[in-house]
Amino acid sequence: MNAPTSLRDIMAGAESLVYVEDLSEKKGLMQAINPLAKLIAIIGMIIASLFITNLTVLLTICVIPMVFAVSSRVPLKQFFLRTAMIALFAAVLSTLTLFMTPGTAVWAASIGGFNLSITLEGLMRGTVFTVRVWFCVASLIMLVLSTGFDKTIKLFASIKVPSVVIQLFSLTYRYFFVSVEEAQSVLIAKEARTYVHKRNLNLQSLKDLGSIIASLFIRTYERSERVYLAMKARGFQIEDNSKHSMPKLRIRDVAFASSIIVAFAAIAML
Amino acid sequence: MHIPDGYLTTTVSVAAFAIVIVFWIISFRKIKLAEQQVPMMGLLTALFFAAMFANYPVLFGTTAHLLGAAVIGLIIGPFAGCISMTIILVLQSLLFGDGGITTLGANVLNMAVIGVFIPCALFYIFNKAAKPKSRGSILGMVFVSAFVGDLLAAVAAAVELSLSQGVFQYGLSVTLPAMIINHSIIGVAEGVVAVIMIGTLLKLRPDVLQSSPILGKLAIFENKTEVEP
Repeated sequence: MNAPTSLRDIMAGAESLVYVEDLSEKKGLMQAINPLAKLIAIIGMIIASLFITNLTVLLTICVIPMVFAVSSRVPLKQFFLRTAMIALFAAVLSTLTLFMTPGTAVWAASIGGFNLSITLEGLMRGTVFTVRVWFCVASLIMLVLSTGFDKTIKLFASIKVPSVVIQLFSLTYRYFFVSVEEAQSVLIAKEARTYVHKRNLNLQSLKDLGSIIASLFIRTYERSERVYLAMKARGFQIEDNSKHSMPKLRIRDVAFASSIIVAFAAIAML
Repeated sequence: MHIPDGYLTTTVSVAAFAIVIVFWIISFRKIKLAEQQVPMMGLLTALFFAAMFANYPVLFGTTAHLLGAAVIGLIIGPFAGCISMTIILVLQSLLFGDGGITTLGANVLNMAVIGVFIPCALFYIFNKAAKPKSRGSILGMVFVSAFVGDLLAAVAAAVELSLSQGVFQYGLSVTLPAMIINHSIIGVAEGVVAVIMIGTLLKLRPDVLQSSPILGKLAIFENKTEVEP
């Protein structure tokens, strides 16, 4: 018997997190770079790409996230699967541009009395947008796949995020897996009572979702009190940020971030 | 509704960040997280984070997932809700690549500020004006608040996208109708889920809602009257 769709979605989310943790522990180029240097470099790459309008240049810089992926031992199939969906959505979104942008027609047809034409300029604009979105998503995915939660928390501490927020992030992450387990048991119990997840949008499927989240909410609320008491009994207090110390920036981290920033700034100004 | 990187200009992204920083500071000052509230907020955020993975079908094989901003805001209050939603959006961005990093400010503005504060403000106004006592009218208010909150968050996203011409291709004449049509359906789903959730809590654990900064102001809690069926 197949698991209900919503259970599969939630489980997929948890699996994805475990996958990211595994990849971030591998020995590779991006994993070896200090998270702060990586973050600065990736933000620099994304911002620079917003100023690039030349398709050839954009296609050329797309090689960089791919090089990062290969040198960080990220399976290319996974890398492309994770980045393809958003780029595909951007391509679909660009469809109207092909017809709306004035310019030299490369294709024209009359459909039901309407004259439709795809222009070269429209084609170029849509392609530039799609390629740029892929580049941005691929760059962010490389940051995601090579960092992992522990290093992300250290990164927050290094940029002076308040300790109470870091504590909230840690608890959210930890209890996400508990919530997944709880959701799993609720959904399996529902399925055992002949609950069938409907494939189309209808009131019943929304009612089911609402009641599942409500019952999970009640369980979670009750658990939070027990968790607090258990944490207090173990000496819980809002941690100092210094406990999440991140390795200091080394010369290679600074060199990585600055070379990326300088190179992309130069490309953007071309 | 998550806007990925590459959709917004740096000006719009920076402006969005500037606005949300103000809301973060205000929210922090308002909630004054006590030690005891940290585990509760962490656990509830985790729950909504998990719930957001559950997709439901919309149209033509497409799916949408629960935004949950209205429910979070109505149950734990707008300021705690804003922080909670921000944590969810940051985790989605940095652990899943869902939404962008340069567009994080815009996503937080849409979903953690507009998506949380608007439903709370609407519910607060409705409650002041109507002082509802029946379960039906309370849940009606929840539905309208959640629906309008979702719709206005989508409108904000449409405005941000239209202000990003040069990077994004379409103006407000395209982005606004597209977002409104899409989120009219998603908003109804969001409203129904919010109604079921709060309805269940009203029935089974009204004490949880009683401690809410927004729902706790209902006449049924303040006057300790019974909920009319």
